[in-house]
Formats: sequence, structure tokens, C-alpha cells
Amino acid sequence: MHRIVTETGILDANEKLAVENRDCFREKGVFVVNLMSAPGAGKTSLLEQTILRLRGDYRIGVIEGDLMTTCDADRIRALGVPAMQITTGTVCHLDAQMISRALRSFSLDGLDLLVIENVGNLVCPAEFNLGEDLKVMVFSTVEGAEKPKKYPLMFHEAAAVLLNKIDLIPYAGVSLEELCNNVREVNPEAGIFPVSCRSGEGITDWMEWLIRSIEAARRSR
Amino acid sequence: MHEISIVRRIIDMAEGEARQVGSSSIRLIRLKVGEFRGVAVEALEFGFAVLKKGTLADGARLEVELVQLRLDCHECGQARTGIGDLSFICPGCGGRMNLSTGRELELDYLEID
Repeated sequence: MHRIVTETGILDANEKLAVENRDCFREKGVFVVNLMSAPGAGKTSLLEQTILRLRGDYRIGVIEGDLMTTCDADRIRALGVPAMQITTGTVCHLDAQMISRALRSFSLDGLDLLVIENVGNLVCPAEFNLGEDLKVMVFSTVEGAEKPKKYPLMFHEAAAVLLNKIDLIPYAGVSLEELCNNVREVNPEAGIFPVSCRSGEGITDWMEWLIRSIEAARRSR
Repeated sequence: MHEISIVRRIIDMAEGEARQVGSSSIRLIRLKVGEFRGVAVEALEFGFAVLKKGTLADGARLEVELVQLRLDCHECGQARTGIGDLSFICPGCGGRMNLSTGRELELDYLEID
């Protein structure tokens, strides 16, 4: 019997590919957002709202991750933005290798902003870096104020947390203040944006934050 | 929910290490898993039992050392442990707490014949 001490990270292979992806994004001058949430929180709706407001000033591309169907990519293409769909089959998250493969056929040339919409899942996507500049999370307020404490990982990893569907709060009996406090406890640095993708309320604050982030990255390049 | 792909990766890494030293039988695979990681130990164990068949780890045991979450306040030095009621805001001074342990996900060591 013989012991081999390895002390090697199990996701090191993903990290290595994520660094390669990031180098590729830097070289092309593209700012990359990894957009994450549970299913149905409103990632695609937020993306539509964001594209409508940004497409005059920034050239945007989208990679969509889903278990099945191409309906999200179809919604994005309808806005005149190039979109590629990765259907993961049974895999509950995107990883750096899937993005690396997608980049072989999805051109970044001329893009300013690439949004990667992850598979709807409140846990796993937070574990896999893709090479993005920012992780952004959408949370549906009606799911309850305690969720950041129950599922802290994604809230902790996100640079910005959008609290969507605030127009439904009066019907759901959720305290927005308690929800914001819980987000701050698991991530004191996160930008927190209460929004309604349906009414457009709060979207301006999110847009200003995103534009500031894109421009700060440009200046530092 | 992604434990199966993690188990596949663990077995690949362990087989690679064993082959490098000319072993064809792994006895034990020892992991360190932080509690602030989106990984369920029972799901790892289930996945391992299924996926090890026909590999060099077929006869191996999987041992998981669960690493407790520990936060340290960089303002006042106060520490807290455990993932229950997680808060990165220091209960003592209101400062920002830093994560010291709890995010591990590593292949610690193997025992081979």
C-alpha cells in the first residue's frame, strides 16, 4: 500500500480553461457577463430590457445555455442581436469548456459586450467560472426574503443582484427590506437593484451600473 | 446536482495519478469538501458507487473530509464558524468578514496498491 498526496483542486481543469477564455475575451476587447438565476426568475426578460437600452451604443452578443429548446436564443435574435444556443441536455450549468467550444463557431469580432445566460439553476452555475468579467444574478422577489440565506453561494459570488418582479411584491407579502438585508449579509459588496422587467421600474439604475462597469474595464485595458 | 460530473473528474484524476506510478488498483480516495460549496456529499458517494465500476477505483473507498466554514473579521479579528445563518457582516464591529475556509473542493490523497 502506498499513499499519493495530491492536494489538487477538482475543478482546476475548469479554472484553467476559464483563464484561456478570459484571455480570448480580453484580446477581442469584449466585456463578458455571466448571467445566472433559478429557472423563471427573469434572466431572458432582463436581457431583453438591457439589449433594448444598450444596442444603440454597444454591439452585443449572447450565448444562451439551456437544458433544452432554443426559445431563449430566438427571443434574443428577434431583437437583432447575434445569439448562439448551447443546449446542455442534462447538465445543470455551463462550464468553461462549453464556452470554449461555442467560441469556435460564435464570432466575437466587433462585439463590445457578450452576455452568457447560464442554465436556470440556483446552485451549480455559481461553481463554474467561464472566464467572465462579472457574475450577475437575477432573483425573483416573490420566491421569498429568506432565500439568500438558504442558497448563499450564488448571492455571494455575484457582483450585482437584481431583485426582479417588484411589481408583484404587494401580492406576495415579501419584505423587500428584509430581502435586501439578507443579500447584504451574504455579500456586503454586491450592487443590489430592485427591478421589474415587466414595468421597466428600476432598470435605469442597473443600466448605469452596467455601463460604468463596462467603461471601467475598457479604461483599464 | 453536478456531482456526477465532479465524480467523473475525481476518478479521472485518481486513475491518472495511479497510472503514473504503475498501479492498477486504488484503495482509497480522500477528498476535502468545504461546506460552502454547492456539493452534496451523499450525491458524491452515490455517483462514486455507480461510476467507479470498471475503473482502477473499482475496489476503492471514498472518504470525504467536510471542512467547516470559517469567517474572520479583518477589522476586529473576531471569527465565526459554521454555515448556519451565514453573514459576512461581523457581529462584533459590523466590519466585512473574510472567508478563511469552507470553499475547498480537492483531491487530498490516494492510497494505492
